[in-house]
Amino acid sequence: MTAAQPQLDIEVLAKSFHRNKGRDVRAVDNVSLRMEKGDFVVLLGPSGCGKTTLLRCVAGLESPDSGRISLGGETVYDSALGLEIPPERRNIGMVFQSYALWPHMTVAANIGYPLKMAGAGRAETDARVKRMLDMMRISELANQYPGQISGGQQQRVALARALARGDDMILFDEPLSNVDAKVREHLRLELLAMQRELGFAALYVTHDQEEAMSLATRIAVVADGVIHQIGTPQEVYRTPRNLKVAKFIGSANQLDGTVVNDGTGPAVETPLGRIALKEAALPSAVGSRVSLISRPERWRISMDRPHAAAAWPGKVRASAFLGPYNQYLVDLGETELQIWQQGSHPLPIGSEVWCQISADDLTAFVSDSAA
Amino acid sequence: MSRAIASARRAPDGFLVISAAISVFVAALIIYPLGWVIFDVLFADWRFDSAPFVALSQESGLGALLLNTIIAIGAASAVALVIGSTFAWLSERTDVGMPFLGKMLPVIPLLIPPIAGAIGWVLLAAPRAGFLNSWLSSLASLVGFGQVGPLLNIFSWPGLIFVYVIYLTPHVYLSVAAGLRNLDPSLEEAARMSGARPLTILRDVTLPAVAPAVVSGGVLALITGFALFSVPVIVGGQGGIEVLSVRIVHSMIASYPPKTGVALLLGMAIVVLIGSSWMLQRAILRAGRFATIGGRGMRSAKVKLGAWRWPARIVMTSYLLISSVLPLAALAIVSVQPFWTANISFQHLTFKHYAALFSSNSFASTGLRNSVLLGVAGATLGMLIAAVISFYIARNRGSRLAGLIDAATKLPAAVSHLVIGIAFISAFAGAPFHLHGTLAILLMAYLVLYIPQASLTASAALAQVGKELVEASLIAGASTASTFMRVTLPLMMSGLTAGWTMLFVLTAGDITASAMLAGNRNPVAGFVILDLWTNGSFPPLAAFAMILTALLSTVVIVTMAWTWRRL
Repeated sequence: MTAAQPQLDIEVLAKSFHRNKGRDVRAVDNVSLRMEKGDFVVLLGPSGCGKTTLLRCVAGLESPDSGRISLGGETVYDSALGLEIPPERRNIGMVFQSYALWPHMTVAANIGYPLKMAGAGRAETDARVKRMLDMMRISELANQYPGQISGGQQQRVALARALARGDDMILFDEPLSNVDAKVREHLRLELLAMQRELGFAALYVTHDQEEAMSLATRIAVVADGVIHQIGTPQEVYRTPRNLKVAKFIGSANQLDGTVVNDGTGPAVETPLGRIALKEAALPSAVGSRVSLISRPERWRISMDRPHAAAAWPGKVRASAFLGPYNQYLVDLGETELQIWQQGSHPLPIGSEVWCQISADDLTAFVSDSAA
Repeated sequence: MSRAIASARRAPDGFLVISAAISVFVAALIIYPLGWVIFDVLFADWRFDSAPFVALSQESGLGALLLNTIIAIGAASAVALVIGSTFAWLSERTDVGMPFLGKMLPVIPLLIPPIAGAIGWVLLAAPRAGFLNSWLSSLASLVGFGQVGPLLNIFSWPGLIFVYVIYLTPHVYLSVAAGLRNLDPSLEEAARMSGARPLTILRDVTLPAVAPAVVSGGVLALITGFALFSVPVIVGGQGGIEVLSVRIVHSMIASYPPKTGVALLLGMAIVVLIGSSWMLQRAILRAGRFATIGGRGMRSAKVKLGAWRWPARIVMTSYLLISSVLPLAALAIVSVQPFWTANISFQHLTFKHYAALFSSNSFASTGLRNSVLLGVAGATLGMLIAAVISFYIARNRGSRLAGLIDAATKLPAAVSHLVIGIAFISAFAGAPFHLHGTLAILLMAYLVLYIPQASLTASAALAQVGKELVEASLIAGASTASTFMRVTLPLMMSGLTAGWTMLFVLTAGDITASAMLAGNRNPVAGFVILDLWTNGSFPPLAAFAMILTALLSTVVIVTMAWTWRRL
């Protein structure tokens, strides 16, 4: 094992489920993914996109149909060789959605269980459990039962148990989806601190993009069993690779149109008129259908007509004060725009306004075939 | 708006009055005979009467009777607990992959009534003419062991326990499988991710977590076993092993005048046995901590059995063989023989026993017709009443009357069918009702006997109907009655259908109450079977059991297919 071995290496992994009426669903469709030590990769996607199946394949709880998985340089699954190491012999920890703490065992017994299974002696187990408890700052809970402790404490116990199993790689299956928003934010920060401090590699499944943004060193956007894009949170937010990623990450306004060029330069013909774009920003040739995606916070809204060329008149249909910013729904003819803008007093409903955006903030994608 | 609803609620509501009346009537039908029999037997002429105790002390072999009952049912329940739990684990948590068997196992007692199975096993393993004995001895002489005596004897302790086990296993299976299905599978997956091997997980996590389901499965087996009359009357009688349930029924029907006092006191012994089983369950459950996390229908990683997969499949299949295929085959063969013999000769096959059954107005065909009639009437009335009662209880939660009615509908499950049979005879057979041997007393008894199962399914079905759906209907201006008829009842329908099926099968195939309450003028299926058994006329008995089994399983399969398709 050299130091250059990736912590996790998934190669063209595939897994289908048989549904009723003979239809097969490709839950994981030839996915490849590589993680280094200390990586925090979040699999982000809508429910049913295959992210949990992918995670469970890594854990060994689900049998893939084909492909290869190796952990820390050791192959644990290889369809070509017919090799499949069962989960109890893969050296990885896992934190479950419900935490799955055994209700009939104390906190200490829960954390010590993986050590006992690994054949550690009683004294060694006790010592390591004590260290874990200290590290998680829950020493006083050692003899409590899971039903007696709070959600936050349960998360720490679950994480401690996962770490007791393998402190190189931990899998997380939507562990924060059962707690309310306030606690969730706190637990998220705590988990982040633990991971950066202990340095384990984490593969984390969620459908909550705020959670993904705040935790990940890299986000993998999953849809229909495929990783559409993998990159830092900034990359997937600022430069989404395709329309799917752009629409799934953050809120997005979509303007459909056709690429045209009448000699003065490339532009897109939209219901709002002709919008000039740089040649390099266009994904396809003249005559093809494209969608222009823009973020609500990149738009500016004003009562007076701005000097900029790219500005459209509209009418405020809905307006809400959210604290940090105001949220508007504006009708530009048939087109509807979502706009976020700071301001102490939101504009009233029915206001005649002007909306503007810089051409740099419009990203063009080839339209979905479905659209 | 809210004031309008409040005032509407205060006004007397015809439907609630009617449902209260029905609930009170049913509660009275349960409580009155029980109260009456206790009063009549123990407090004749307003004074405590010791005569029944004297009569009981003159009964022969009471100690042996009690010991027999406890040994037979205790041993059978223990074996059923092991087998049923193993089957439940195999089909819920491993890749044994026999979903059909998993669905069939719990309904086997409904498909093949225990009495038919018990008779089938007599035909298979009776010492002289049993098919298996005959085949085994031919096999023995074929391979050169020479002439051997009968190898199997169903009329023995192992034979009795064996047949009990067949019919108690599904109860355990049902309970444990439900426990496993509701157990969050990530508890077990977490153990796998901690490096534990499948059998270690079973010991460390699964069993402790589903212990309540295992314990209640065992207690269910005990309770069912104590009250079971059909198996011991067929198998134990010939083997000279008498258990409580058989002695109770015989005290009521085999002597004139019926020894009601003795029967009632022995019935009380069964109530005590059932009560102690419950206390045992509570004591065990209080001692530990258990997972109560409701499952969310998550898929779980199946334990791979590897080389053990085929042995497991063979064992599960042989249970199906032993519990249903073999006894049914034996019944089918004997039903077309002129007389029961292990030498099957194809020239002499005859359908005359079936023809006799269908000839008009024979004793047997009347019994069958009556049972179908009572089954349809009892199941329909029973489910309707249970639906109304569950609705009434849900609407009046917290009221003392609703609590009393709720408790009354659970009472028949606690006091055993035998005691209720005794109570109905002593309360309704003579003056002032004079209902002895009528279909009316049978219908009332069946309603009371199976009201616990009926109201359990009805309230489960009602719980599925969201409270908001009912409230929305009330707010839309519908009366309580039309809300019940148009919203609640249609939404409960699939649950009620399942309950109807169960009630029909239990009523039409009932032995215990039928033995005590039916008469020669109005025979029912269970009465006919016991009559044919006592006369020793095996081919007609087999033909009758075949027809009854075919009838009951057709009803179960048709409604199951109907509900599965709707799922």
